[in-house]
Amino acid sequence: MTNLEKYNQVFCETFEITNEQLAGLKYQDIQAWDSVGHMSLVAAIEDTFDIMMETDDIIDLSSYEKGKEILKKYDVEI
Amino acid sequence: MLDGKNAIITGARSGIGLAILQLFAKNGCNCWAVVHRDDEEFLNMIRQLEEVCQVWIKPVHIDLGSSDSIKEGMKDILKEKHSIDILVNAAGIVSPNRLFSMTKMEDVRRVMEVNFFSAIELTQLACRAMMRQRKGSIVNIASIAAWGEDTSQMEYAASKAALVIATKKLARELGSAGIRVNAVAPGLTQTKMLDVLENDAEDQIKKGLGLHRFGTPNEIAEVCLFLASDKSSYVTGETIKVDGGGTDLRLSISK
Repeated sequence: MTNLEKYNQVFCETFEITNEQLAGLKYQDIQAWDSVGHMSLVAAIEDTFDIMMETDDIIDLSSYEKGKEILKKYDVEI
Repeated sequence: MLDGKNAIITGARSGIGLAILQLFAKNGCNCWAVVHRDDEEFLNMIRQLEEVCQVWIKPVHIDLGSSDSIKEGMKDILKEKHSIDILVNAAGIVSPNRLFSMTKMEDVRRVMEVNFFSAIELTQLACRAMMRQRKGSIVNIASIAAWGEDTSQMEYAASKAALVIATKKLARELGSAGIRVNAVAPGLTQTKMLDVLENDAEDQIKKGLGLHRFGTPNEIAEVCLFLASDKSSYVTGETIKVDGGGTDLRLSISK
């Protein structure tokens, strides 16, 4: 499985959405991506890519696309 | 009561933290024992406990005064891919007993770092895993000093008061993720922290307590066990005083 596939899977499983809903998805666009959902997403990303995110990055993780940029800092290329 | 659960316990090498480690292990809980450093005696005790209780206990070395050390320690724990069901923030220090006017700011900061900020940072890191599980229990060891009615040092009392308020606030935020946050506020307990007491003062203080004696670390641990377990599944945001009914602590406890 590629990193992109893993990344997409994290979003889909955490928020119970489909791949088609991912492009352009932003924090609080959907009910599941509230503050609690956000922390579940962070936990799932950390678990999947074996990293520990800094608090600043957790705050900055405001969209599906932004998450890809942030992961580069942790040497995860999507 | 905790069969198959996994707990992180700070301050696990002595006093109340050690009593919690032992009681949790006896109740079937696997433990990460967070200590600054260990020795052969501690490691032997852990090995015996593992054998008798049929659980695993892993020492984790963290300097609770250092954010980097906390992060490194938590990374090691998370790498193991076990669930984190329970976090007990039991580590605590006191600075030398002296007037506030004669207290160094570095002592104040050190007490706040270990007693408050480390607990909060560990909570933030551990609760990410708990959120994923949609379940978890966090127990903070506060103190009756949090109510400011005894003569403990300002910074110690302030750090414990901060922990009591944090317990309440975190419980409200984390409740929706299935995480409970509670605290235990021990009164005077038979640990090394009481070494500052003179015998006369000790007797006087005991007379002022409802039960006329100090608590034991195990008596504090029993309440932690209740709060960590599913027996307290509808309890969150609470701080339970475990102080033998003591209220008259205005007697000096300094040498």
